[in-house]
Amino acid sequence: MELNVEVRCNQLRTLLAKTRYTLISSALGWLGSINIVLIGIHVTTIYLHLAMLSRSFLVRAYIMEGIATALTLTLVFGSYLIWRNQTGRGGFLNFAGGVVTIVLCYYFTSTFPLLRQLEPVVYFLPAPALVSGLLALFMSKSPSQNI
Amino acid sequence: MLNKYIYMSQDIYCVLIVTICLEGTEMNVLSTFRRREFISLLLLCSIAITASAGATLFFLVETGAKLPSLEKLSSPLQQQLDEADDVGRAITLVIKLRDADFRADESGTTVDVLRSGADRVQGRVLEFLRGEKDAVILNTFWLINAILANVTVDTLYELTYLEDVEEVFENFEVTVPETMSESNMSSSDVTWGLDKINAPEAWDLGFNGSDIRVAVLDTGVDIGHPDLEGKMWTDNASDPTFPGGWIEFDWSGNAVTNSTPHDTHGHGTHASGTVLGGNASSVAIGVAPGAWLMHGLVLPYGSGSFAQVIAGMQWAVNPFDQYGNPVGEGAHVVSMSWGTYGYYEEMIEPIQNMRAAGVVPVAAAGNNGEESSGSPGNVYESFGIGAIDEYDNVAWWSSGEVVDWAASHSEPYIKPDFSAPGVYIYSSLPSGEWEYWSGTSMATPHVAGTVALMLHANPDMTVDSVYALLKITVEDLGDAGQDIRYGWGVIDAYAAVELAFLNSGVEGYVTDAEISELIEWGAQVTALEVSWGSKQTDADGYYKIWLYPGNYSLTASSFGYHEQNATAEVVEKEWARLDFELAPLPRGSIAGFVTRVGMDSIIANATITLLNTPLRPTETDDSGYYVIEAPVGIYDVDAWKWGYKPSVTRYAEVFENQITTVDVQLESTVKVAILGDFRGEITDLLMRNISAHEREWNVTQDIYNYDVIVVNLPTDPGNETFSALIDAADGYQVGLVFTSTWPGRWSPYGISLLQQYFNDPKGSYHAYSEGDVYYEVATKHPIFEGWSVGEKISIINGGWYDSAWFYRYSGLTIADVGTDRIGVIGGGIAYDVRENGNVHLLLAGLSQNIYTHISNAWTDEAKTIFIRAVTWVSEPATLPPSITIDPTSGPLGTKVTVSGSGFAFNSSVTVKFDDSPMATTTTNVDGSFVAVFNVPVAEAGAHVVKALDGYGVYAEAVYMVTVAGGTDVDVLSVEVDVGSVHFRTEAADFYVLTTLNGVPVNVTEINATIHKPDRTVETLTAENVVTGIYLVAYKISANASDGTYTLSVQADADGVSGASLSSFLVSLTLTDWSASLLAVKDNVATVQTDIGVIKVNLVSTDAKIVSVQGDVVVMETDIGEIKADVAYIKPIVENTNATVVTIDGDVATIETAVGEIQGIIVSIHGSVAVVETDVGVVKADLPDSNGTTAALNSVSTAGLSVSSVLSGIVVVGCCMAVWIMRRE
Repeated sequence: MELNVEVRCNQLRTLLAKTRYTLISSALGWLGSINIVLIGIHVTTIYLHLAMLSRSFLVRAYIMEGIATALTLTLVFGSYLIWRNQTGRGGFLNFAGGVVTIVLCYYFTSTFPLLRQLEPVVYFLPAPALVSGLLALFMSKSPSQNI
Repeated sequence: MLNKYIYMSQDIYCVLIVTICLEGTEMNVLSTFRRREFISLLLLCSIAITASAGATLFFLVETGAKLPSLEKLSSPLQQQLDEADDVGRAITLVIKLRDADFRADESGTTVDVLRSGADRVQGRVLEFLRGEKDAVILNTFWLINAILANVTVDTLYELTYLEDVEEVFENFEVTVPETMSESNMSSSDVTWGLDKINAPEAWDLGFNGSDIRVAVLDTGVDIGHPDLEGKMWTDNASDPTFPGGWIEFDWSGNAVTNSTPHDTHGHGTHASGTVLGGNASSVAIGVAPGAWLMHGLVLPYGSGSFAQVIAGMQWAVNPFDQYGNPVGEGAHVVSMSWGTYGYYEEMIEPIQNMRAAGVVPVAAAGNNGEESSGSPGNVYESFGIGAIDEYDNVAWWSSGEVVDWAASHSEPYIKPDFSAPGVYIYSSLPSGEWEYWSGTSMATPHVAGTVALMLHANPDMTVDSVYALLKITVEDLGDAGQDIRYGWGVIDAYAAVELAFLNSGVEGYVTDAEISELIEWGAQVTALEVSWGSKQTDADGYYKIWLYPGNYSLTASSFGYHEQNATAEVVEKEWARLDFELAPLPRGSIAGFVTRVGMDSIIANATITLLNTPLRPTETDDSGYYVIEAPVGIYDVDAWKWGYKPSVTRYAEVFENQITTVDVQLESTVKVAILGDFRGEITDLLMRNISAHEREWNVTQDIYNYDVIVVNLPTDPGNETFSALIDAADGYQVGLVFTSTWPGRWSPYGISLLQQYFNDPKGSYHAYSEGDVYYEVATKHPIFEGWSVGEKISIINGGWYDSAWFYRYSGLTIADVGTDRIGVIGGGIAYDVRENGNVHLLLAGLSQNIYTHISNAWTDEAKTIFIRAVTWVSEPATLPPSITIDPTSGPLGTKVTVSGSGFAFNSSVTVKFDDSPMATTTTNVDGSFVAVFNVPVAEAGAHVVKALDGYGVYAEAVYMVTVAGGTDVDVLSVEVDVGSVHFRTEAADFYVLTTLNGVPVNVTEINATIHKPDRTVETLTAENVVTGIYLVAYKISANASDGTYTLSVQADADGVSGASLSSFLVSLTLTDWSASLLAVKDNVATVQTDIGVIKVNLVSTDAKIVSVQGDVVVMETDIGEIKADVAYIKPIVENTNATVVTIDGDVATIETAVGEIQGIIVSIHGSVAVVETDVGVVKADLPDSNGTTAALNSVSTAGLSVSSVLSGIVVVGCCMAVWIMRRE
């Protein structure tokens, strides 16, 4: 009887811990999606402004909108999956979203400097999505008793 | 109403656009496939809204909608309307109407006349208001012709269209001044105030104010107080509302029914006690204890409205009961122990009318100390009263000043008029109490009570007589005569009452002994034995001097007359009659010429004045001569004309029947025109030092009459007129000074106009309440003589006033603006020297508006800087335009050379012969020109040759046509213009002008040939453009030889032939000439070449900066390379307007003032790209920046900044949380 109680307590503790990790990971994913929305608005508005110089910027604005929309949906969907305890797939999506965000930040600071004025804190922008993905992947790979 | 529609349309438009943009942005990110729909929607909405706004405006204009006459609204009301966001909200307003035109047959008392006049004028406005469904009429007044009404802003604007409406102002608040109180018991049997003014001695003469009605308009009165019981006037002793003696008014000035005497504050009972209180406490407190009290409660609990106090004044003059029925009789004296700080013109008319009705208006001067006053105490016709203490010292808080208020009186005057005890005055309070209070509120009833005593002694005295008696019986403390602390002095009730009772003195007329008529300038009659015995005759030559019984020696004198002496015996209750007939002095004249210092030129229309005489000034005639007749004597002759310093010639003696010659030379001074001079203050400031007056934008037409134009606070003239002023000023070398402070809604400042129309400076800003404002000297300059670089010069003092500055001006900034609280904010003073040496100067912070103006805010240093700046800008001076012709006479066809000077720089000048255009040319940098024409067919005799420039300014000369051999000669003139230098591949256009006898004509045949350096000849085609002008086009081939090319043109017109030729150089390129840039201005580069200095338009030649080699910048143009010093180019590129032209990758091509240049994009933020070029880092504007996009970009940048930092913190926090959980 005492053993059963102890086992039940441990299970409960594990469940509680897992729930906390899920919450943190999911929340970071949501924050990552907000970041990409902001980047999207910022870059797109400048591109639209520059479209008065050349129509090529209009094409770039469309592309950026597409990337931003896709990335936002990816992160939202990934965070949803993590929330639903599908940490493996959700983590992968958020990690991938974070990597693409890093690439965007790098491109818009070093190649076409639309975000350069925000250096160096601009590199914090992809961090939530990346950490969210890593945390979820870590949860999915670890046996539940180790958590 | 129109404004309302405009503002509404703008608001709706902005809201819709912002909403659509926000939606669009959302769509950009989330659903890109809807972009086309979004853009279409945006366009449709924009077109629809713009069209509807335009249609609304068209409808309003077509249906006769007018802009409201805002000048009819008082300043505080305008400000209130500016801040009001609800145009449908009702406001309580006083609508002041014009004075009635009184009819010749109008008769009756002053009150009757005022009432009937008001009824006539008010009828039309009342009818209008009744037709407005939102308007509510609250009250009407006759003491001031006004209506109190509740109206909406719409109706208010409509009201301003009505001719009868003179002014509209708010029903402003009036309060009793703050008083100081102290409970104590007096140990004497009369208060010290009564003792000071000798009231008990006046009582001893048998006068206590009996049968005199004194109206106290105040906070109410406790009529049950032992000292006041039984003293209130009433028509019906059984009526507790005391009809005719008591009344209470509400905020709208309507009588409150069933109101019985009561005090809401205590102030009214205290004041009433001082006027006529008894001695129930064993201390006599009232000056006129026998007088009747009338009390109007107009300031409930210490404050009331304008309508309330005016209603109270009307009631005091012509009493009525609570239902409006006439009762009782009007007051003899009105005591008003209240006021509003400052000058309220609305109080003038009621006080004037009260005095005209024979009622003495006594009012407190105010409790705001020296150099202040309040209305109605500061109205010229009121008896303004100041306060003294027991030791004859004026209380520090007692108001007094020289009042310069043209609306009240044409000349400045002094307030207070009289002083009376006002410190620690013991008097009654409600509930049977007594207390010591202080204030001019306490001094005022002392004077009102004294007037009651005087009228008791002599009921026939007029208001003027009362004033005169008070004046001559005062104890004159402070400066002799009237001063701003004591007025004429401290009143003496005993002396005033005694003199009033005696009712004796001398009176009579002073006339000219020769013609037995009135003396033109008036005369002075003086009784030598008394200090007050000097009196000026009035408009009828009459004088009246109050005197005690006795024998007196009198003297009558007047300018231009021999003095006359006489004696008179004055007996009690009688007025001795003494007329004077003065013999005129013999007369002579002063005459002379007025000329200009350093020149022989005479000055016409100069004003000549004999100082300190009543003689009318005269003016010099066209020959500069003047004559002024004067009685024999010694005079100071003052000569002055606008634009010259005044000159005074002293001690010019006039002898009988002789002319004394006084020639005067005047020195020219700086002549300044001010555009938009708030209250004329800048004119006043400058006129003390140089010559200035206010002008409108049409100053451009005669701008050469001025040395400086100050563009201060004019109406917005639009870009075209503003640019025309700048061009004309530069053309005539008239300096320009632009000012700024906090801008008004309807009027921009000079600097604002520069920024608006020329974007130079880039910004014009302002702030208020940021502390005292100063200039910080940035560089040495004559304006700052006496100050050193880095020194702060205080310009605006007072802490809360407005400050202004500019940002990024192309000229040289010599001082910055700063404030105590912020430090240096931006540019303060800067100037730009134009191509011909003319100066534009910016003076930020030194202008005026209703809050910050010269008289209240500018320091002496600010005034010095302003005057110095204007004087400095005035150099160099300009001469009026003139022309000479050579020869001045000859037969038809004579070649005449016209030389002109003093015209506008770089302006086209047309030479006319009897109004027929003969030649057109352009003036040089110094405003000179030379033109040639052949005398056309004309009759023998004098003809006018006129040179007219682009601004309508002209000069004339006369040419005499003579007959040559009896026949006229036709002359065909051919003029060819080919320029001086052309380049290979250039498409050159040459123009040919053909004139017959000076008149442009089309010819019957024209042949053009070009002669090349290789001796070959090419025939060209001449194309007729307009009458007399032909275009010859010539494309210079790529392999054309260098050298001189000559265009030869021959023409024939009806048998008359003419020919001409002109040469030009086909040159090497600029590269071959080693061209070096000297300067750039307005896209035109001044370039030093091997063959001299040439000017190159950098825009039309597609200039580009292609490389930087060491310190040398290489600019490539269509006509070769220009080399420039990098130190010169760098600040131009970095500091002037640059625009991004193209972006390729991270490389941007930007257009600068010196041509295009490429660079690496460092960042793009808002609508500005930062680009690093070989020459320097440039901030370049993205093209046609959209405010919404830039604003959105700023918001998203801020969001990204916050989100970045937040992400960092959250990620670190989460990592720590995971680490802690893992440890658990």
